[in-house]
Amino acid sequence: MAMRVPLTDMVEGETARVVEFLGGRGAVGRLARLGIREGAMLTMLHDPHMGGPVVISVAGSQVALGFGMATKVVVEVPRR
Amino acid sequence: MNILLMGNPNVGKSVIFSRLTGVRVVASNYPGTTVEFTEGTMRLGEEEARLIDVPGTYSLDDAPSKAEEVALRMIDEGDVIIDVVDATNLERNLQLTLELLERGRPMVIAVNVWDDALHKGILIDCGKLEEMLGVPVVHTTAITGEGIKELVERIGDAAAPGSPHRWKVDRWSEIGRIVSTVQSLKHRHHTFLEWLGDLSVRPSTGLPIAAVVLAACFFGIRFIGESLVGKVMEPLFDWLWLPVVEKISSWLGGEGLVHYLLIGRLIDGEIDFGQSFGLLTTGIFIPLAAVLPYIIAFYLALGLLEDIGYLPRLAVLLDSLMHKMGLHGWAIIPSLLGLGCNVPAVMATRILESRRERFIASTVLCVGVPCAALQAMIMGLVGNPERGGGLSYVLIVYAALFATWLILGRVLNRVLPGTSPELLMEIPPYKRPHVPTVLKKLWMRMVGFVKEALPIVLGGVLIVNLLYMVRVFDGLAWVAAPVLKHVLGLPRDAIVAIAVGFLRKDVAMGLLGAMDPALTIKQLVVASAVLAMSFPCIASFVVLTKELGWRGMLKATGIMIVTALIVGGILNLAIPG
Repeated sequence: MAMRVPLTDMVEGETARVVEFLGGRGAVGRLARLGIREGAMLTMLHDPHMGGPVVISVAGSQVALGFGMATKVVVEVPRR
Repeated sequence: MNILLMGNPNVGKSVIFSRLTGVRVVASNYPGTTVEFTEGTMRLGEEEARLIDVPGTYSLDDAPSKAEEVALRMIDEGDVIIDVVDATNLERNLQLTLELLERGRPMVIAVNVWDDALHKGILIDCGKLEEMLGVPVVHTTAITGEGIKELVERIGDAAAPGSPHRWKVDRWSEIGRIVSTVQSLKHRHHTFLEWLGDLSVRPSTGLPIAAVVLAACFFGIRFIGESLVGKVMEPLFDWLWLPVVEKISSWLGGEGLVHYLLIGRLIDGEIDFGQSFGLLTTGIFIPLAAVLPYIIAFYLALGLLEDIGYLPRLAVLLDSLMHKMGLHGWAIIPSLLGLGCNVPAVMATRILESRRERFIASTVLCVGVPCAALQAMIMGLVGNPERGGGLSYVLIVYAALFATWLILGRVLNRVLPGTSPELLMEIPPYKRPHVPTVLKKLWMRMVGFVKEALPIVLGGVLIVNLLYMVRVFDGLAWVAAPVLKHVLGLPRDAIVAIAVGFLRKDVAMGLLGAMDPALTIKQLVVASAVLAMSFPCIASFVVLTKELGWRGMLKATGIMIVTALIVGGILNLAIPG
């Protein structure tokens, strides 16, 4: 069983698949540019620290997302 | 023939560009410098071709950024496209590659950063990639020059793919198929640079690292600047220039209008480069001997931080802090640039999306970020033990400015309607600095400073002397005296320096240092802070108007004057003596 959670709920080292975006079209386009698109696998490198940004590894590069934007990315994590 | 150099940001495109054209260009990690494109000529066998370095582009689809809009328009002008791909990041880079192929232009692919990919255990079969995409593929390592010759040779083979739009339906699954066919990964250990990259972006270790890096920069810049001033520039001026101006002085008879303008006042019968205030004495001395050394030191430090890729990490670390000011982490970059000069700093606020962000960022940086020229003079005057100053007083000025920067940002965020934007950016891996690129960039910035600053400093000194002669300042001083005396604790003549700050802040500090009777160290601290915060110098004023419009600029200037008076008043009350 897999679980759908916002990106900000992932813990360090966890890998998940992107399943949905809650943001507008503009944000979706900006995310897709950096490889964050539906179906992409990403790994959490640094989980958010007191509302700070998250750093993930996706498509071979590291990407930083502000906390607010990260809450709008829904991922599917394997059951913990 | 037009050749376009295209690719994602941070793939080493600029280095390939400078290799191909033989003309070195700016190559760094932050946006702002790569938004504008560069062009040059390259030799292609017998003919010359025009090479255009197109702004870094992730994708041409869906709401392109400003830089990507430019890129999109340029495609139509290109006869051949050189698509630069980062070998360590093939999957994401192929998105743009496929989009470009769909446009049916003749193309060559350079798989760059080849050496790093090998270090990381990434192997790419260029032959197979060439077969699958139907265009020539060459692997390159731009920094060492590997593969560049072959790239040039294969430009002639550039091919347009047979069937455009064949990937439109499902580009991502096509990319997945290509990557799994041509790329193989070997297991390997993390490199030292990756480990360091990890440590410097994680708050628990990153913030101490940032504190150490910034402190090292501050003391390094101060040390290099001070040594260059004291051990190189001052002796040079005394040895080579002093005899010349002394001769001119005695030839002019030591007094009179021309002597006053060219040489200035004699201090105890002698020329004093810091205090005489003539065109050929202080006017030349301030930009070249007092300020240029700090410009060199500052831009050397900044250039290294840019080139190794530290700045994006600083942006991530400071994201939470910047949010409280209504900005996101990247907005630290303009303020950091402002420590060099406020003009490029205000221009760099263009990287921010909303008008609100640009207003906050440029206002706080004009208020709280002293430029290198001003800092050099603050170090020289407030840090001078002969005037009762020292490092602790210099730090008081910096602390006051930093606190003002932070508090004003928070206040503006509260007062202005609108919301904070979100950070979203790639963090490129650390790389070894490319020394020629760093030095070339330092050289360009030095030349830029001398060309920009020297005429304005000379003009400033001339105007000050002329205005003194016609006694314009007397009226101004009479009006401003109550505020200066009661709020800031400064003598009325200090208004001259503050007014001159509109031309150049270093000249203004020079005037403060030359005042008679001499200011106390407390007065120097208050005056430096007020000078740094009150309205921008004329060059910043011009770009501020350009970026914010007249109304925005007037609003920002009003904020600056009020803030300067408040903080100056607080410092006057808080500092004993």
